[in-house]
Amino acid sequence: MKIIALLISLSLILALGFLYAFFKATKSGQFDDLESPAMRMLDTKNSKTNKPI
Amino acid sequence: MKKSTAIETLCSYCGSVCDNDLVLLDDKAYCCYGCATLNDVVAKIKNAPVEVGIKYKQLDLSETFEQVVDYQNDKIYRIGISLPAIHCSSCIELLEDLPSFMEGILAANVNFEQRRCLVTATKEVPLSFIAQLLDDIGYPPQISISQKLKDAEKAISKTNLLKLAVAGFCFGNIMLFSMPHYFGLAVANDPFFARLFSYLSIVLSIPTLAYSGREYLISAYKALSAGKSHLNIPIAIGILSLFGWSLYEIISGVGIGYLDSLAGLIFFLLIGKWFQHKVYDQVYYHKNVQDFIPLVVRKFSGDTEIWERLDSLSQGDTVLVKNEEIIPVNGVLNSGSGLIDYSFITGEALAERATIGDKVYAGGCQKAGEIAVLLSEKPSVDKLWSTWNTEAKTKTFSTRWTDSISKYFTIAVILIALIAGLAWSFVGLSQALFVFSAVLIVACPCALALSAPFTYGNILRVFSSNNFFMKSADAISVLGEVEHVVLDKTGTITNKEALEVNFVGDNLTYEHSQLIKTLANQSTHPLSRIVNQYLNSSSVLDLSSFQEATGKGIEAVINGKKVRLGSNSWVNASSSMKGTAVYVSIDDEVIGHFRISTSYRSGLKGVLKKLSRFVNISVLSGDNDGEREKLLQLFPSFKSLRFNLKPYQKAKEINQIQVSERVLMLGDGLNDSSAIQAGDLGIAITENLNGFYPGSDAVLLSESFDKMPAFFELARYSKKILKWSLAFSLLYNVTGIAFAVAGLLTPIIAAILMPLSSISVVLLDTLLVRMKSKNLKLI
Repeated sequence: MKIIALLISLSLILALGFLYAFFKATKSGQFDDLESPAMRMLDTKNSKTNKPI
Repeated sequence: MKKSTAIETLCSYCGSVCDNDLVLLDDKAYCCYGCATLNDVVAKIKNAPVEVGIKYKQLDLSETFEQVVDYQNDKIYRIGISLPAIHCSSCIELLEDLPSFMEGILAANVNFEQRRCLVTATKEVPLSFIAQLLDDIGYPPQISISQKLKDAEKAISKTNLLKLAVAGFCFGNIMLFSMPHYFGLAVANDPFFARLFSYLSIVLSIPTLAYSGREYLISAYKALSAGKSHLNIPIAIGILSLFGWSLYEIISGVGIGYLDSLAGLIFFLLIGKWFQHKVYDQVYYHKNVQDFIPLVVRKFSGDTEIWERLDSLSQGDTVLVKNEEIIPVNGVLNSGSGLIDYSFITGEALAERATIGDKVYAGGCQKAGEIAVLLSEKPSVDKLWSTWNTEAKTKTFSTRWTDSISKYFTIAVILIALIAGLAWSFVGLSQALFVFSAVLIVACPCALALSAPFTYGNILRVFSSNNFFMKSADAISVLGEVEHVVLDKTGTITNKEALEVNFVGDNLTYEHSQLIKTLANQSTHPLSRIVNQYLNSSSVLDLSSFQEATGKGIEAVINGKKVRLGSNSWVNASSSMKGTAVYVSIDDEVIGHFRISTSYRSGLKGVLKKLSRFVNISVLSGDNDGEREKLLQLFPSFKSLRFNLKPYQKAKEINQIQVSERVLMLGDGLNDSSAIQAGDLGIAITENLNGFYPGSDAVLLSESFDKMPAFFELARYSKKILKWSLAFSLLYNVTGIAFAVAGLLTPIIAAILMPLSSISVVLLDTLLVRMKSKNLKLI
């Protein structure tokens, strides 16, 4: 049954990882604008990464 | 499989591969005609010279520049520019192409949700150029210090979100650690795991308390040390006794504590806060006069015009104002012919004429060509402000009634806890301590603390979906308590955009109306356009020898008849009407005039009638009393009807009413701002959200004017909802305290009772608000 201790620590680390990712995403402004990235994706003209082949 | 051709031609506009039917134009290849046309159009804009107007010139002043940019170093700067005109994905495409429009713009990044564009440019490009360029391509920018204040509000809501995330994370995990115990699983009986779970819960509850719940503790401490009662005080007592008792239980090994309830409580409280906190992206409450009146103006120095700072002008200078520009100074018209629109300031729909020698006031918008204004005094921004407004102060709302309840609540809870603790002390000290803290724990009024944010948050959402934007949730409770509504007349209950036109004179024959329409059709003067629209059923004839005398009228020969349209002196009419009129003469014979007056908003009668069920209504107007009869016909039971009031007198009147009643001021324009400020609640009515509404607690778009009674009713109903929730949460508290006093408050009962009370109160509030809104046809 001691294996549960390992599972618990793993799950906590994983969850902390998610929390960290959420913090990072919020601070870098990922949730500031949920609409334009979807539109920008379809813009073939200005995108540097999305050049047609 | 697809084989690619050896040489591929890429479209020089969109960059996609051109197939066989490519279009060649000016030695460039395009994949289709659409791209060729677009390239042509865009090239025209790109090559057009940028001529900076007065609106944006001030952005180059070093102090303004420093205040508005987000970041700058020696070479580059970055600024977030509000562009309310952003509408769809094509806007993003065009705006992000900005670097190709002007040398020196390095990057442009659109935030669609906030209607903003983040522009990076080298210092060689003045900010005014970028602003003017954006204006030229159809996105008039809003660059101001007020934007920065808004960003600060946004930052707060971001921190709240992070606090919520931490609380949610800790709550979820502590809950999992408590589950084995609640369900009596074998693992909970293992001493190693029981201790592991408990200590992990302590570790997780520390960030919840120290980071997420910090604000509740701090504000309770502040309220206590200031000797004030606040709802956060009993909450803080609950939180601290939860934490303290849990620590005691875990460390002494008696039990598992109530840490899941603690984290859940803070989590729910933060959800409520997050739900209530709403920042409207389009509404600017912080705008001040500097955002409106230009700080840099064109001055005549001899014969040449130079740019000059407003505050370095002195008496006797002459300032040039071009068409459609805001007059920056108070002064005397020196040359040109003024047709000045003060609607922004006074709500008056019709532009005022000014001839040489007339006084003109800062804030008016010139509508008919260039004018020069001679300064009659040294201008100062403070003085400009005081022309229209007496003083700007921030208003604080009286504390909510929940805060006053919390005083009695806290005292009662502490008394019950003490008595129960004393009673149990006969059984044993540890039992007495347990009962004492259990009462404090369970009496925590978190359901009460949640009901206000959720009720108000829901109402804010209903209001904003109906174009009524409240600055804060507290304003709703004030709206619900208003007893007297004071209305401004011009621009508030009259419609700036709809004018009433009457022809006064002999019957207008079809032939005459044709002649008049043909003439009016030729001019872009606002009055000509109104006449033109009024006669829209007539057809247009051919005309010859058209001439326009600026500031006087127009003339042409139609069907051999000389037709004149304009002021009474232009047509040699004998009488002069009060108010605005356009006179008509045909072959030098005056046949009558068009009377143009503002009309009342549609539905005004119904609004007044419905509002009068709840409140007294008064009208305070700056105009003459020509409309008194008409108003009394519309609604006979005005409490008071006053005319010819100066802005400061309106504020005084309101202060007088405030002696006995709580006052709501509904006004528009800058001249009402001191009255709006004086009211317990000030609402500005506006045609569009780009306007300027200093001092107001809420902004109402004019199209929703007829919903005013419904807003009132919902706000009044909110108090009833809160009372219901109070009764509900007290019921939970009484049940909980009964458990606690009996010494039966086990962690599992706390873990069920606390979230249950929170969730049911939230559901009740949301449901009641939605039902009432549906009833009032607001959703």
